[in-house]
Amino acid sequence: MIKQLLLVDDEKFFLEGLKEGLAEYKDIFTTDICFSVKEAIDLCNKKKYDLIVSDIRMPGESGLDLIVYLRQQSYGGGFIAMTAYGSAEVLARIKQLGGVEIILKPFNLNWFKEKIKDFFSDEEGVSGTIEAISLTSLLQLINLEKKTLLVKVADNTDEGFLYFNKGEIIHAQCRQKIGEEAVYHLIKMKKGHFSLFNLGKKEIPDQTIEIPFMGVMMNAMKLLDENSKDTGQEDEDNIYINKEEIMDVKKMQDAVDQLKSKIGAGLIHTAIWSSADGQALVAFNEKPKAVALLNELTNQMYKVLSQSEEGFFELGRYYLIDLVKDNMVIIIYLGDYQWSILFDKKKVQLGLLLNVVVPNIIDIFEEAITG
Amino acid sequence: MGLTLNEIYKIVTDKAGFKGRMRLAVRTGVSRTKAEEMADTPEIIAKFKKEADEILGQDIDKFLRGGK
Repeated sequence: MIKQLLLVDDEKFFLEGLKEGLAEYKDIFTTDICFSVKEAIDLCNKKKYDLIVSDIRMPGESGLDLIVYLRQQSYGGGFIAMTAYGSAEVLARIKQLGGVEIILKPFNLNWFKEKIKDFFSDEEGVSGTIEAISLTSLLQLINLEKKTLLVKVADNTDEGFLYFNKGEIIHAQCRQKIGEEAVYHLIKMKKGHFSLFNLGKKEIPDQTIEIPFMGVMMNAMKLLDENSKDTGQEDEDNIYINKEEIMDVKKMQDAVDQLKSKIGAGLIHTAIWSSADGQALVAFNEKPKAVALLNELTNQMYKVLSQSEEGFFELGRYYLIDLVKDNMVIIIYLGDYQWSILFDKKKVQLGLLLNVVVPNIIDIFEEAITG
Repeated sequence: MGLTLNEIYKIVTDKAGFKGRMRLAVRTGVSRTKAEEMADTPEIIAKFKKEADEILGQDIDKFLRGGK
């Protein structure tokens, strides 16, 4: 399907030159031009554009007014702002509006043509409705696949953007909200639609969310839970995150740091992961494949032992695996979570680890899950 | 302070592992270290016992010293 591009600038000759230059990509997109925000709004009311490139400073209404108008209309396409006046104030205002790329004038025509062509060819075009797939499920899928993507989410009143870098949410924007606050606001959406876009390295924004994906989701679920209690409504998007066990990821990291400080150089790897999917929430010297294997092993062991008809006993607090080259791994079974500690036996005393260090770090972990 | 609560934590950990202990912490909203600092009021003990009974699938009074 041919995409639709709209260029807005009060410099008529400049715009006509751009249009002429872009004509060679007419099999990918068609280009309309107009010379004021008023004209642009009229065109947007008649036609759906996939990308709008607009100058910021124009007589009458500015490009910023156009962005605000489009937000109110739940415009779902891309927006590139052109400006020759790259003052910090203007740039900050554009950034604040969110989801807008900025290019500085003057620029080379060939560079511009490639940029527009790339925009349309990079666009994955994957989209759907939030009713069909819950937003939380979609975000988890992106996390599992370790994708670098922009997720645009919109309903009748709001529009927001979630930026993923290798599966981690690094930035989110929705109206005036930025970071985690914006994520929580967007996750509350029950209706609307989403679109996914590939993100190039240059388009990855500054990081405003520091905590890992699972932590963001757990905090979001906690807020949703509190919200549903306030409104008396149950949240149906519970997925596999256990609402009872929302944890403070920062405190969990404290527990890992405490372990590192107690056993020092003898520690080779450690991770706390979710039993539901074997994904680490916090880790030192991450080993995702080993964690996935240990998770499967524990879950199988737990299942077989707890269903044993021979009167065998259930899995207790932990189990140990002796490994070659003087290594050992301890798996602490915490129910919905598990904790692996791989260490060098020559450098760590097992008795000290089990009787002093583990009780201490479990106390900290417990603080993390009780908040 | 929190002697009975601490004992309940110990029994649940011995009988149901860390899995049981974490459930007790989440259900009561009180970690073991916080429980140690709390006063053993009848209300909080009753709440802990109720949750512990459910986690263990048996009456925790059987294991508490003096059958509190």
